[in-house]
Amino acid sequence: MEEKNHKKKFYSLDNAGVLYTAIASSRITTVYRMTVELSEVVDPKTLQQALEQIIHRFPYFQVTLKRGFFWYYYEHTEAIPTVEEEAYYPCKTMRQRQGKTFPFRVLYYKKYIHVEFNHSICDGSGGLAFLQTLIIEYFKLLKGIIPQNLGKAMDIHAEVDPGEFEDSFKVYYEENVPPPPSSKKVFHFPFELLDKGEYLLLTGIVPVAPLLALAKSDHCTLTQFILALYFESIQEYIQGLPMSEKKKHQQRIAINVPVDLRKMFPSITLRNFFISLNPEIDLALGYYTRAEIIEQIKGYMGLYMNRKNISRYISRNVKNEQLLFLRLIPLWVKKLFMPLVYKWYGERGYTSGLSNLGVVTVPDEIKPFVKSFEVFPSPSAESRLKLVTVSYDGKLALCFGKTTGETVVEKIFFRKIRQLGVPVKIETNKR
Amino acid sequence: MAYCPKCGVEVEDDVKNCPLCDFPIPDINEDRQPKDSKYPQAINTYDEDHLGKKNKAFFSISIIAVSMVVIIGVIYLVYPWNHVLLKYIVLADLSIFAIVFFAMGYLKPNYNYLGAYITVVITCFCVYLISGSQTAWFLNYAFPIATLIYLDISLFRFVFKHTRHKSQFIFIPSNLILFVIILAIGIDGIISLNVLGSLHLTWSLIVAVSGFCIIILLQTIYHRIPEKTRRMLKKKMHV
Repeated sequence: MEEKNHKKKFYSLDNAGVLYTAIASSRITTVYRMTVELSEVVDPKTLQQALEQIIHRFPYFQVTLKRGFFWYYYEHTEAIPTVEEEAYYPCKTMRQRQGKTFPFRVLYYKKYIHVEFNHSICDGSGGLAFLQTLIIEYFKLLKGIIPQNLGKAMDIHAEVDPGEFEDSFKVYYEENVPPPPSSKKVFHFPFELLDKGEYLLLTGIVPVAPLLALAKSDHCTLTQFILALYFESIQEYIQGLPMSEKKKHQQRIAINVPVDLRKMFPSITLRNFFISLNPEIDLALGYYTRAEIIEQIKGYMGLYMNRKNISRYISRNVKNEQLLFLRLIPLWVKKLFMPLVYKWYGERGYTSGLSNLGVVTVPDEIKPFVKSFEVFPSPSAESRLKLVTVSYDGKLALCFGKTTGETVVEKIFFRKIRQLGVPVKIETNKR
Repeated sequence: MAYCPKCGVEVEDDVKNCPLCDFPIPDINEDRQPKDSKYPQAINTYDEDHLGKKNKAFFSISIIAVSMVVIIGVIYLVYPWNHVLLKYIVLADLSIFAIVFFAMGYLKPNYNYLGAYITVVITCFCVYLISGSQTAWFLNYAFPIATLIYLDISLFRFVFKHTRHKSQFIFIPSNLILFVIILAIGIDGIISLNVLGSLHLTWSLIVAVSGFCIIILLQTIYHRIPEKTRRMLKKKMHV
C-alpha cells in the first residue's frame, strides 16, 4: 500500500482549496494564468507530446473535480489533457463536475505558452514548477536539449514524493493558538465591472536592476518597494477623487500580500501553501509620503512575518475548516453562502492584492529560447485590480489582472516608475 | 518602438492609443505593418455557456405550454360545454408562460419588467371578461394596484442603482422602507377611493411616519448631523 500511495485515487482539497471551490463563480473563476514567451512560434504537436510525457510525474494534477455531499474533492482520472489554441478571455471559468476536465489548461498562441491553474489545486509556486517542467520537456523533444541543472523543475523520471501533494496546512497546524485580529473594512475601487466572462490583463515590463538599486537606497526589499509605490498610487488616486476631504480621511488602504510558507516551513508541497498578510495605511492619520509608507511596510513585515504569527493564521483557517457544524452543512448550501461570507470577511479587509513570485529561472541550455515569464492573478469582483510580479532574466513583469476597464491606478503607478527614470513597456489584451 | 507622449511608457507597435491614458500615439512609423499582437481577439463564452442551459430550460417550458394549449383545444372540441373552466386554464397557461419568458431575462431588464406588468394587467382583464362579474373590480382595484406596484418597483430599482456602491447596511434598508411606505400609501389610497369615494389615508400614515423616522435615522448615521445643527442641539440640550 505504501509504495502505491502516490497513485491514490482520491485527493481531498487543502485548506485554501476548500475556500476557492466554494466561492468559484463565472466571474470569480479562481483561475490564475502563467505565461511564457518563447523566441519562436510554439509547435502544438510537440507541446502536446511534452504534456503527455510529464503528466505522469504529476499524478496529483491529473485529477478531475467531483462534487461530494459536504465538500468537493479531486479524483484521479486516466484521461490525458490536451493543449488548445488560445481563443477566449484569459482565466476563463473552469467547468467543474464533468468527468474529463482538469484543474488546469495548457494554451498556446503564436510565441506564447499559457498555463492556467485553478487555485484550488495549487498556488503559484506549484504552478511554476509544472510550467518549468513542461518547458524543459518541450525543448527536450523539439531540440534534443537535455539540461544538467533542472532548478525548481521536476525530474520526470524520479519517483513521486508523497510530500509533494501533502496538505501542509494540516501538517503545520498547531492547536490552541489564538486567532489573529480580524480585519477592518477598507477602501475598495469604485470602478464599473466588466461583463461577466471578460478579464483584462495589463503587463508593465521594467528592468530589475535600477528598481533594485532604488530599493537598496531606501533600505528595503524589491517587493516592499513596489508595494510602497502601489500604496502611494492608490493614495494618490483617492486624493484625486471627487469626494470631501473628510471622507478621504476616513479611508484605509490595505493590500493583500501572500507569503509563500515553503520558505518558512520545511515543506515541498506543490499544492496551496501560503498565508496572506494585509499591510495597511490609515488615511485618518494623514497622507503618507513614500518614505513613511516604506517604514510602515517594513515595520509591519518585521512584526508579522514570522513563524509564530503565521501559525495563528494557519490555526484559524484550519480550525474554521474543521468546525463540525460547518462541515455538516450540505455543499449546495455552502455554495450559496460562502461567496457572501468571503465577501464580508475576506475581501472586505483588502483594497487590492500584490503577490511577488520572485525570480524564475530556467536551465542555462534553454535560456536563449525563453524570452519572458508573466503570471496573472485570478479575477475578483471586490478587489477589481490585482497585481502579481515575477522577474526573469533581469526583467520584472508587473502583471495587473482587472475585472474593470478603468486604468487610472495603473496610469499613476507606471508614471511613478517612469518618473524614477526606469523605462516601462506596456502590453495588454484590451482592444 | 512607440512611446506614449504623456505617460512616457513604451507601448506595443501596433496600438493606436496609449493603454494607460488613452492618449493617441502619433503615427511616425511610416512602414508600420500590422504586427502580430500578443493576444488573440478574445471570445467571451459566458453568454454562450449560460444561454445553452437557459435555452434548454425555456424550450422544455415552451413544449409543456404548447402541449397544454393543444390538449385544452382537443378537450374543447370533444366536450364543448365546459368552456369557462377551459378558458381559465388556457389563460393561466399562457400568462405563466409569458411571465417565465420575462423572468428568463432574454430582453433588457426594463423591458422584462414592463412585459411582466403588461402580462399581469392583460391576465386580470381577461379574467374580468371571462368571469363577467357585475362589479368593476378590474378598473377599481386590479389595474391601479398593478400599476402602483410596477411604478414602485421601478422607483426601487432606480434608487438602488444609484446607491449600490454606498454602504449596503444603510441604503438597502432605507430603500426597502421607502418601497413599503409607497406601497402602503398607494393601497390605502386605492381602497379609500373605492370605499369612501374620497382620498382618506389612515393606517398607511402610521407606516409612513414611522418608516420615515427610521430612514432619517439611518441617513443621519451615514451622513452625520451637520455641524450647525449639532451645535444648536448641544445648546438646547445643555450638553
